[in-house]
Amino acid sequence: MPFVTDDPNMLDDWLVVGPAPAPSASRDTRLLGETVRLSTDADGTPRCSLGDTPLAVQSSYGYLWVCPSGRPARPLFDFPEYGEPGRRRVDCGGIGVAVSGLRVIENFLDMAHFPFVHADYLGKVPHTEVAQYQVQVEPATGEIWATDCRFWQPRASAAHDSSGSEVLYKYRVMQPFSAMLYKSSFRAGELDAIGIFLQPVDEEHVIAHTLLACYDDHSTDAELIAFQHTIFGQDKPILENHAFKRMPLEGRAETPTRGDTSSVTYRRWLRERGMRFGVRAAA
Amino acid sequence: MNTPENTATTWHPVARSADLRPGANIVAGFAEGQELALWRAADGTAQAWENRCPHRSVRFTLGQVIDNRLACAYHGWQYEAGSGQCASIPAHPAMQAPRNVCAKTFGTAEAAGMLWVHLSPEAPPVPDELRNAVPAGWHFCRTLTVRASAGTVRKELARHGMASPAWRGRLGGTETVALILDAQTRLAFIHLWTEAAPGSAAMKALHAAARQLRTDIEALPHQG
Repeated sequence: MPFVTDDPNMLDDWLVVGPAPAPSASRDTRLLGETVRLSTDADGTPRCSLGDTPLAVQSSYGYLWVCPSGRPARPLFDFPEYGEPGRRRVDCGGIGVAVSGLRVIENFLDMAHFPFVHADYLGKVPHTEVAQYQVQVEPATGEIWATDCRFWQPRASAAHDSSGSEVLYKYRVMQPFSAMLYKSSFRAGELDAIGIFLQPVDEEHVIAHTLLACYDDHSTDAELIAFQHTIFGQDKPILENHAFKRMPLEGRAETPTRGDTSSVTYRRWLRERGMRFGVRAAA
Repeated sequence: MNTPENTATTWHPVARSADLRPGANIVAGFAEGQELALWRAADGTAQAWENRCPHRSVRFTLGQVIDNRLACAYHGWQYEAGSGQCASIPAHPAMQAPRNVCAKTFGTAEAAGMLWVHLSPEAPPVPDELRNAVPAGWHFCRTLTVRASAGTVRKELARHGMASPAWRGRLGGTETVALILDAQTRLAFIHLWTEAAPGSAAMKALHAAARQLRTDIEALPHQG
């Protein structure tokens, strides 16, 4: 295998590489330390190659997904909200982050940082408390689900004004490098869906592709994207300033607290699947 | 002090004392490859901590000083000056922060206008050489960062006639003391103090000589 890792958690899974090129066009991108070429045939068929070698590729949820080994251990996860009528699907673009993708997913699952990193948007001091929530691994899919998450937010989305509201969240981890969140939307009773799909450039670099499947009758696409970019732009300097870019999964290198249940479960879930890519070796 | 033989057990001149304002800023520091967060509590005491929050390893230098505590930028966890003990976890306001959550702290000394850090767990008493490292009434010129090992810097300063252990001599014709910091394997800081007055011709000559010194050292082939 020419790739920078031999971790089957990466090689035998579907990895996002961004949107498909237009028909008859192509572009190069980075995947696991290699440059791969993406192209779309005139009839719409997507292709991916590493040098002269074709790689397994599929088009789903607006992106291309590549299985480096050609032997996917499981099908790509379900994302039913993507096709639901009434939802707006907005690709917010890929943003490079110089850190292990595991740190990015852990940050995505975390509510405790909202008042500090996303002050006046997703949180505000003194509303700092993380109430107890439920986390489980679903036996059927192997996905992590965190439910009954609540947090007081000054401005929860582009559609919200800044009067503040308690926002309900559900989180879901489908792959080591893919997660979704569902949160109270502008439309009563419905939840917006936000996906984060990480393209693994190498063990310490990812391109984060963010996708909205949301309800919003007012904001333009540009406004929805700008809101996500504002939020992501607040996380990026934090993410790139972990003293260890790779995430430790065991030992006492880092100390969780009570509200870190999602993070603790995610790290255990990674440990149980023998994750090595993007992991800091135990001291 | 600060000679090649005892760098592992030495006091490192990491920053100028005046650059740390009480209850205000955090300065990134280095000593022998250890990254440091340098700050001063509101009560005036200088702090040198491992630049890493114990919770999720985000650099403390992104955080903020709140009175006598350092708050991490990521989750707002607060740590006490002196002990480094975690005192507040905002996600659980009613919970007492566990005793085992503690920032790693290093021994500090303030002498000769500088903050000095000792990397051993038990810092020894501050030796007199530190207090006398810079003659009274001298002025700070600048800190040079040089992409070379501290050993190479010492050799080159010696070639300029500045001798161990005081590293005192003339640079650009101006009477100078050079305090050398072993920052990383190939990164050294040289804090220059001088008898020349700020704005004087002698101070300008020293600035020019310092720049030339750095250029000369960085042009050397890599050593050791």
